[in-house]
Amino acid sequence: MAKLSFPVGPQHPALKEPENLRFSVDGELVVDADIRIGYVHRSIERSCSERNYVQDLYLCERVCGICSNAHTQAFCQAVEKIAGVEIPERAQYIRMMMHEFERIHSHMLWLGVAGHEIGFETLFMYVWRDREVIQDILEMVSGNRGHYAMTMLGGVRYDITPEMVTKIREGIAFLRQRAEHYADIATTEATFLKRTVDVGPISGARCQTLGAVGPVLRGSGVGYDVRRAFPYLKYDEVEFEVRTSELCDVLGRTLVRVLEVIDACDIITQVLDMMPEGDITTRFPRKVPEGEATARVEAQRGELIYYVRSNGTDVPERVKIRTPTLANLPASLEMVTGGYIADIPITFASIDPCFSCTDRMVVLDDVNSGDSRTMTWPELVKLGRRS
Amino acid sequence: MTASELIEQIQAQYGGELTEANASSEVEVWVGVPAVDVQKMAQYIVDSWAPVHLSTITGNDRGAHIDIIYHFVADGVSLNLRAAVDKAVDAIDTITPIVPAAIMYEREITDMFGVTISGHPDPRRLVLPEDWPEGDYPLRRDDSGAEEGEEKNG
Amino acid sequence: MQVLTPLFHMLIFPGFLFLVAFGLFASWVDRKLIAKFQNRVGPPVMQPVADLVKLMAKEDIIPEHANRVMFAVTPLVALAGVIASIIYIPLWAPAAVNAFEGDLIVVIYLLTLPAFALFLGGWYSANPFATIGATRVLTQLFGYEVPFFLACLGPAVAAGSWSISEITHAQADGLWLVTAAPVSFIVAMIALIGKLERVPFDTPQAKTEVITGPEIEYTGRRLAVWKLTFLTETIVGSALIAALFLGGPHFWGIPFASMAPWLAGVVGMIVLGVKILLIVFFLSLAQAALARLRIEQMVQWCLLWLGIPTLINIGVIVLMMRQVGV
Repeated sequence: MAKLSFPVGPQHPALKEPENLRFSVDGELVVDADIRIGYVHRSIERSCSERNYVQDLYLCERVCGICSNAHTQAFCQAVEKIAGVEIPERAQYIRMMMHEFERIHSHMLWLGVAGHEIGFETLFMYVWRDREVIQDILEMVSGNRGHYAMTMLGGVRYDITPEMVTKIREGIAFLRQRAEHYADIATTEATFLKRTVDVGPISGARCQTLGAVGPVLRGSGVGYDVRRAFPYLKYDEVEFEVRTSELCDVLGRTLVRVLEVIDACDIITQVLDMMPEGDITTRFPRKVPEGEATARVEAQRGELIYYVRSNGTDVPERVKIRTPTLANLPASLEMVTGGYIADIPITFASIDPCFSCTDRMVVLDDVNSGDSRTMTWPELVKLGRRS
Repeated sequence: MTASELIEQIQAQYGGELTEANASSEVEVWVGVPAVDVQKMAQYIVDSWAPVHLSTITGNDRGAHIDIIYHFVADGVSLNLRAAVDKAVDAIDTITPIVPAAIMYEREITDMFGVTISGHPDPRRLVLPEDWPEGDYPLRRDDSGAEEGEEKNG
Repeated sequence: MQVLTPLFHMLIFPGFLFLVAFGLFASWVDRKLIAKFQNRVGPPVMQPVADLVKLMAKEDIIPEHANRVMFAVTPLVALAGVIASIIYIPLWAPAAVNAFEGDLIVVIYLLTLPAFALFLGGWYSANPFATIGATRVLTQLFGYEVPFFLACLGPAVAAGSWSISEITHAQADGLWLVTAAPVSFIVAMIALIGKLERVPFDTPQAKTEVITGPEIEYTGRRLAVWKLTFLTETIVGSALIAALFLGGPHFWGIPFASMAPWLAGVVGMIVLGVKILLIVFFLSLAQAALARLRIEQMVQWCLLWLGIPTLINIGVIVLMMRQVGV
């Protein structure tokens, strides 16, 4: 069979977001892979430098629907560093708890999607049902199931009441037990192993060279975790293990994520035990003094870095966001090359891609002719009125 | 290694003049080099502290020049390497052959700021569409913004 | 009447109408079971009918670059192949509507028609995903077809006949042939999953990989015909396995010979229906419990773990027959 080039996306059931991947295949083998991003570019970085800090907080939260809390955390961390504001201890613990809640919900979402990608619908159904527990907790604490808006400059918005603590402990105990069950499934279920072992292989050294982060890097045996490397909030006071796996394949990344759910449960339990009473907010100045800072946080997909530069006004001069997916793309292209077509979805899913995070522009791409063009605003308005 | 040790080491080894060198915390340093020395410095960082992690590359329009900041993690210290690219030159050498992780970030810099990355192995656009007008760079402050006849959103 | 009887058999009973009705019901059972396994509620009983009606009403599109004739004809050929094969399978006590020595071979060949038609339909759809899916259909065919054929050979050798009705008749008062050919029975069940392209052998239609593969360009009525093909093939395939291994309409202690013919027919149908639903239960269980395999894993696994054991099973049957001295 001759070499065939076929597109995956911008619209494809395996992709949850519009991206265009091009694969050259020889029979069932992938010989080359390329990616075209930018379909959901929303100019967030530029918009950030035209709005004040409080408005930016909401904007950054909307970079991604899954890791919204990690984004606000990183943004606040950078701005608070420039302003020299130390937030109250209780607020730090609450932020940490939100951070770990989000990790649990995201990793469980991912595990379900991974099951769907390899045609294991039952895993998807079970995991997503269990995930409702953490969603209910998030809703109870913040009032929202997504975009929690808990983190604000100078602290957190809502306090944790004693009734909440009881419910959180119950929910976390249940989730921990379920996560152990899924870790068991992932290592024993034969068809699951057949689709994940030695799929999407990449060595730890290669991951480091290509700048991969998060579970991708740790799934290849490199123990880089921002929570340990550059402790923020109170991560230097809780005990947790940086989970790594020497398997260097999809199974390795799966195991790292499932074990991180268990760890997150343990961290939350520790936080509940350690959390002191006190204020949850401190005064934050409207204008931030001139300066610059970087902030790294370990979002569930990997290292997330913010760079903020202020110029003494209430509007930042520059906000730079680098999301984990962009860092993992070069590694993911290398993972699929040389593999089977059937493994493309699960391999790409194994980096937990989030293209909304990665992108920022309205592009219509005609895959058949290979033409791309941008629609101008009047054209879009016309299109909108016609239909 | 602490931040101050790292600065001392760089100052001792680096042949040219550092435009800035300060530690903002125990684990974070800011180092500046002239734009022409970027390859040399990147090579030095990789040789001294491999494996080095490149988190990202930030661009920032500062009026007369564009700041290019390489955010490294070297030996447990966050090393921010700044190079100022004069707008008259508008080009900087690529570090992708030395640090392969830079490939996507350098393409983004070209997209957003119009700084040519000399010697980049894959100089296609990253996020901008192929027919985006030449010479229009979204994050450059001297960018005229919306063109005549083009409505601005909001 | 001479003309009407075959027409009745083809179009109404046990042909098209009956198969579709039973197929829709079995499809509901299947969906409901999977839902229960997955901790969901599942669809109401009329859902498969509603789905079919909805598809029938939808716009029918033929891609510009597709081969119009092949694109239009292939689903009909597939459906026709499946419906024609039901004529040779005994659905009630005495014999099939049409039985002759060697009809087993005919049925096996008729049941490969959907796979070939699916391959051609996909190949002429002018879509890269359909092309990949179509090649997968053929690749997979080599994986399950040989074991399926060998598995059907087991009961035939044991009963000493190539007619399905004869094989069923041989089980009327004696033991079911599943006792003589247990390995062949298991192999036939697994190969049936491949034939129906269900999890874990749904690689040709994998939604997340090739977006339903060969069916990708089909819409409206033609897609409905494809759905009907697989729906009815589920029934025919299950009925064939039930007839070969599980005694078809026979059940211990039910004296068909002493019953009125109409009563024997009704009871036989009910017995067979229950057996078919049991096989559907097995299919649903496999779907709920397993993940999709890759194409090369599937072929390798099938030939190794299905092909070789069946051969051994047939060898054992032949040796046993020698011993008994048949």
